[in-house]
Amino acid sequence: MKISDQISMCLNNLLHRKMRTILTVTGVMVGACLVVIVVSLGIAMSAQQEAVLQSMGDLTRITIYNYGSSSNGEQIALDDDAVAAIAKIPGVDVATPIYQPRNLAAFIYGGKEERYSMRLDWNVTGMYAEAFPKMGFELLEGTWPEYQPNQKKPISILVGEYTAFNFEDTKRKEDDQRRYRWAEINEDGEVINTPFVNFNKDDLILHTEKMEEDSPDSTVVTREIKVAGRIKKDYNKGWETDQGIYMDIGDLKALESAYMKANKIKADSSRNQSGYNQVRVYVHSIDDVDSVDAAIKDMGFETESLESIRKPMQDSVKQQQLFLGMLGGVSLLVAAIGITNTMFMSIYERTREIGVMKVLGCKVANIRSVFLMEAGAIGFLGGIAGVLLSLAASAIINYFKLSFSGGNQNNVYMYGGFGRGGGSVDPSAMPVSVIPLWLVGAAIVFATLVGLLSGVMPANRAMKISALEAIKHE
Amino acid sequence: MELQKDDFLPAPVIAAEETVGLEIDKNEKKPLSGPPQKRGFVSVRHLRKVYRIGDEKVVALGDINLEIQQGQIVCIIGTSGSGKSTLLNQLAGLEKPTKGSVYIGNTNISRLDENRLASFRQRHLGFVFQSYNLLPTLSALENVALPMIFRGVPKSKRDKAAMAMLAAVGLKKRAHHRPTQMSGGQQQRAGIARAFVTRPKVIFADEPTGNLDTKTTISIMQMMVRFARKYHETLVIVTHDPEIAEYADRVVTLIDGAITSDKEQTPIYDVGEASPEETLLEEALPVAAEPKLQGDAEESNQ
Repeated sequence: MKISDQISMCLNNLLHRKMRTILTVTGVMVGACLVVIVVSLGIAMSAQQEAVLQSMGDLTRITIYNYGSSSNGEQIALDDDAVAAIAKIPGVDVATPIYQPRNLAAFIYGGKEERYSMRLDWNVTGMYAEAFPKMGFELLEGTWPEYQPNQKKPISILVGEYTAFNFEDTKRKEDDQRRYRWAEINEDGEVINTPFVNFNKDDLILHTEKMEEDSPDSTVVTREIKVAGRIKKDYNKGWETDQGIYMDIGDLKALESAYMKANKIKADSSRNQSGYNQVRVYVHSIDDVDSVDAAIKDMGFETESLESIRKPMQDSVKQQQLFLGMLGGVSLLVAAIGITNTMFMSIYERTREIGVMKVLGCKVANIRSVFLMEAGAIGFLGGIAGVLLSLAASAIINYFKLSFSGGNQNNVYMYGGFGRGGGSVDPSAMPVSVIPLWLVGAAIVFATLVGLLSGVMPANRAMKISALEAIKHE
Repeated sequence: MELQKDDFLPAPVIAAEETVGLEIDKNEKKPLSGPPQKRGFVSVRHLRKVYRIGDEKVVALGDINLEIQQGQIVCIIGTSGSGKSTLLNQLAGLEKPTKGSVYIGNTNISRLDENRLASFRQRHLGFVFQSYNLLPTLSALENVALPMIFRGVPKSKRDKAAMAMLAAVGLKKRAHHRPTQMSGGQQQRAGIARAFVTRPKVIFADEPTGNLDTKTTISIMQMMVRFARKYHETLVIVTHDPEIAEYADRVVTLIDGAITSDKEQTPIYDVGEASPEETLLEEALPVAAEPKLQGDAEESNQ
């Protein structure tokens, strides 16, 4: 028997029992559709999750906060030694304190007769100079700053993308709008105005503020300032990339102690004992986060990384996918049972026909393959219908932004806010359901396989029907 | 195509053992008492069939010996329960005998496995059923072409042959009708067309007119006899109706699983008139001229 004849016989049988075929195909369609939707939601969820995490910041970053004492109450110092020890943990790329001066009041001046000024101490952050290239900053111009041990020479600083717009015109009153000049950005994202001071050309000088005006105990410290580089704004790396100033921690500490000396301020010993408030650690890859995080915690410090957010997020997504997957699997199983049932029905109904076919010399293998084909065809048709249905369902889901994952949508907004819009992709704007081409193909193949498998038992039964059935008189 | 004579020689009991591809029952007894019969084209030897119903054994056929010559029209007649249907099943290889063997040509069909039997039936046997047994999902044309579909004959060729056959039985206009759209007589004519289209060597008819009225019965019987005579085909009819038996060359009566009488007779002469289509059939059946009967063991195509 030729394959083409087998196919036409199988189609003929299916067409002859239209209603039953349609109903069985519908069963497969619903199952296949559910499975496709589930997978598509999973794909979209993963993509969304990735985008959310990206908007939240660096996945390879661990931040250590120093609350002065460890969890067991023991006093431990987050000092340079501790940071050095952390840097030696396998997997750590770089570890640096994030240092904000407490005892410093200083302005950077620029322009003719130092007309323009910018507050330094609120905006400045000290870090190890060698850490700058490893923080993930994007250098717009210049180079990375370096530590300047010679206090006679200018301090090298790194500025944020719009730091220059912090300069104020000291000739204007504070309530005068002309005192300030904010960056104006056009629709294309280009800055259309220029700040008062040009970092690249103008000389910059730093003067500390006197604690008390006219006090003989107070003097002014003056340092030259040189802008080494300017970095791109990226809130994932910190707000400082927008309008802040980075400098080496040694420069900053020197500046701070010079200011304290000039104003006769005594150092707070407890602060020195507990060390830095914050240390930032970068690891090589996401996989290192867990182990490094644990190692730092073992040292007695409190850490924060996206891992603590990523893990539960991933787990909840996995749970949702598992649940939906089970739902789809069950409905496909029901559909498979439906196919088997239909095929059995059809075989019982056609017992005599099968007998006749055998008497007329149809080989059992051919009978078997015709029935297998019928089951496979039901699966195939159901798969196609299911894919079409799921494409429609997917479009509807995306149109109405239906969320199948309850809390996830809230997470998106929450973390979206967390990232302060710094991410390049807005996760809440992403599709809820994504059906790639491979999924379409896989669904149809899978449904066909389910059909074929469901047909094996009935087809074997058909094979065993005796040729004598044809002779039986009713 | 010319038929190979050897294929159709009666199977000699001893020579058969040397035939390649054939298995002979070593324990097989030689025919016992009674007048020595000429070895037939269809040869039944010591056939016994016992059914087991629960713990009880029911002997459907005792010890049947029957030789049917090529081209003979034989009627096996018996009442319900006489074992005539069981005998037909055995003759056509639809059931395995408990003991004994059935030869068709050189082949002991009781010894063939299911696939070889299917292949053998496909090539050499034709069937006409009481309830017509046309496949309800297929048109008359497709039903007639069915044996050729199983054989793997290309569509154009088989459709041509089936159409010619349908024309010969007077169903040309019904070619694309489904069985449910045809009367019983029409269905049976399609059934006859299906049985004869491959020009088989032996045709088995199981109560072929059992569901038909008298007038239709006559035309159906005449048609079958005409075809069988024309192509020198062996026709075995199973019936309970003595009137049907009148068309046969030979009437075998079966009672309680044993042959009680076996008479040759002069059949009814009137077999009706062949239609022009029927007369032209020979040229129109290119496929039908193909069958060749050879041990069949080596036939494994399709």
